[in-house]
Amino acid sequence: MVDVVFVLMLFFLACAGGQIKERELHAQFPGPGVPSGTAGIIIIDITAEGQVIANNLSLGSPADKRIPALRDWLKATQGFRGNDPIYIRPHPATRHERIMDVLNACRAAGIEKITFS
Amino acid sequence: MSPPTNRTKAEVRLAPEEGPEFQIAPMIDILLVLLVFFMSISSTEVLQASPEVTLPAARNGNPPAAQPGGQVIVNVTWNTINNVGGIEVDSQRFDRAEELLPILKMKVQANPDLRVLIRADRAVHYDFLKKVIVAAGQAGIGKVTFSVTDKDAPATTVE
Repeated sequence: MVDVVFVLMLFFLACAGGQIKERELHAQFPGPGVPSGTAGIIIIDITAEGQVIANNLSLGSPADKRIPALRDWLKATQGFRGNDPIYIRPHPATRHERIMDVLNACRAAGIEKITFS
Repeated sequence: MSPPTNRTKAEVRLAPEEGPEFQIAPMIDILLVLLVFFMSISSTEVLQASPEVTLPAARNGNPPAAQPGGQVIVNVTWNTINNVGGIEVDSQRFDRAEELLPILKMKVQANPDLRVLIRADRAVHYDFLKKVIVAAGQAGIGKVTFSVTDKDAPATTVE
């Protein structure tokens, strides 16, 4: 019985160690459209291929998952204040993975208010 | 009564002390506790995960926090062969996001502080995901969160 219990424990131990932990990324959803007349607003477009364009400035490449160019640009623009919301405007055919890459980069840059237009 | 004096040294020598016995019963108890612990961890993860969903990786995500208001987990799958999405809530499958609305409304009525946790496959297109988000908004749910992983999982989708 001890042997069987040992084997079972090793099995579940291996399963527990190999599991991937889930994390969460929050976003706000105020409604359709981008508010007009807001100075200094940041809109991040994501093309269907995954190219990130922030305020008409193309950053990084679609194959770049961490998007360090976007992080640096956000840090320089927002200065870790995180007060102004950032609007993410993906193309309808953009993959969810790429949107999460952008959300992740925003979080890494200290941006708290992220919303979708 | 005087002790015997005619004993040899070998007779006088004390019996060798027995070594400490290996206690099996406490070890089995500990093993069982460990077994139950790892089993519970595994089953919890299995219950939440859908095998059809490969979550995107994002290292800067927040660890999942306890939700006193409760949450509804929406699994969003994507068939890359014909580019068709699917939704799964409480083991119920839906083809269209609009079909979610009555269920979400019912859940919100029972729990107004509900949040939606979207577990979307990494290949899901935004136009399909947007419909799920809109359905949550129409049901009156303001808290929408995306589920990601802390490290890259092997991709199971075919492109």
